Amino acid sequence: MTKAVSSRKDIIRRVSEEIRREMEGYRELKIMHLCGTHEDTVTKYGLRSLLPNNLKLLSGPGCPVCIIPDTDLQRVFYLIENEDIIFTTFGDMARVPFKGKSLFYYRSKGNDIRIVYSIFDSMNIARESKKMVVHFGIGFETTMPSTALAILDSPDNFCVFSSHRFFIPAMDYLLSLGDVRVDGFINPGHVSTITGIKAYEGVRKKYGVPQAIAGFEPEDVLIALLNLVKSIKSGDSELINEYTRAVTYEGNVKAQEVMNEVFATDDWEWRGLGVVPESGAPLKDKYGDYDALKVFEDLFEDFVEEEDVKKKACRCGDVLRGIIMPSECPLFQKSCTPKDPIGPCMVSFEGTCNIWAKYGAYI
Amino acid sequence: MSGWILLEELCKNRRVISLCLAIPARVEEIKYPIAIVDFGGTKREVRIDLLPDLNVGDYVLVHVGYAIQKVSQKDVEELSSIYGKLRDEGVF
Ligand code: SF4
Repeated sequence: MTKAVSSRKDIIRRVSEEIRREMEGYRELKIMHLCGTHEDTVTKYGLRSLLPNNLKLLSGPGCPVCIIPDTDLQRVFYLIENEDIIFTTFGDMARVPFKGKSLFYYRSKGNDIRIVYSIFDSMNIARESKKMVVHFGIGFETTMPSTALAILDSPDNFCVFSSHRFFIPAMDYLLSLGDVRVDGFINPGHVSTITGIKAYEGVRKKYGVPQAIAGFEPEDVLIALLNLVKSIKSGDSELINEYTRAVTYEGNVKAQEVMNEVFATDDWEWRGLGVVPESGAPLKDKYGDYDALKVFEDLFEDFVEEEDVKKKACRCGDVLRGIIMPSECPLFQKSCTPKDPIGPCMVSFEGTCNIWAKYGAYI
Repeated sequence: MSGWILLEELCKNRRVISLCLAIPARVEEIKYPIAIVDFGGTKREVRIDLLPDLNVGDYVLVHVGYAIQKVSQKDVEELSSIYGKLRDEGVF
């Protein structure tokens, strides 16, 4: 065995032992991570099994596909049903069902739905077409700068249906709800690359909850947990950056500038959280020509919201709030599976239900 | 999808695109605002508007077609080699 390998295994063993020592005889602590990729690392490597019983690691609203509410999806479907457009989307979004239909369903019915790797691919499609190309803008601060760049450089037959949401207002809102006590957060690595550490100062000051920005390797997560436990015990609400490889205090200022140029803020709904103040990212009025809601304003006037009864028993919202784990949903791996998902948490490969099903985590 | 190597693989076959993650790549050629980057064998065009002072040979984290941050070669190599070895030896 090589040195690199043994030293890494050593790190994992040493850190988890130290966490156990720190937690001995201490009250129960709940730490929440906020990113689908963190859940993947945690579940894949069985990190929860390395933690003592009085340290709970919860999964929060960190899956960008999962938190998009049904009304956005329903509007998109309504647009596709009624307009002759090319619609572009990331693949993960294309399987999310509403009333048994999905973007893949529409594609199979002959609608022009294209899966793209980036919004810049959508722009190229628009440049080669005479049709209007509408891109489904989803994702948090990590993804939003790409949409902003595209809007600033957009062909005329291109617009965006913005379902983008700012992540940090959701952390604030989650704490204000108070239905799950969160003693510490593991903050998402690549959202932080854009926003910088400074963006979390508000939440820290308001709630005094320590936060650690962590990378995605198993030892990154464990070291973040250890430092959070220490910080909670000492009573300091520290803002710890474990992910110095990619995160600075100021973040990517240029990316913040283009985001601020293009997006306004509004109170928008999140699946599981309800309406989160100032979390929505509509395009600013001056970019109305590139905003699908404005371009197709007349069509949307007749839009009527519906409910998907199939999802009534789905507890995705509770999963996203950290109230339950997937195995506590009665449908998990019964009527809801990755092959035949009911809720978006089972569709998206960044969704907690999907990750648990994939790695067989049923505890 | 936790290791960077695994992500590079995912990115290569482009079946899934993570909205949480950025993948390290090496800058091969710059035609501002676009650069050709190499994800361990697969080359792609990415936008580099949001990173000032980028040079050929630099490493960047790429997310949905744009470079979000510069990272050091040391960080990338360290992680990639550790992950590769761990996987090869079936440690995880
Ligand atoms: S297992 Fe399926 S039905 Fe249950 S919460 Fe997850 S996505 Fe919803």
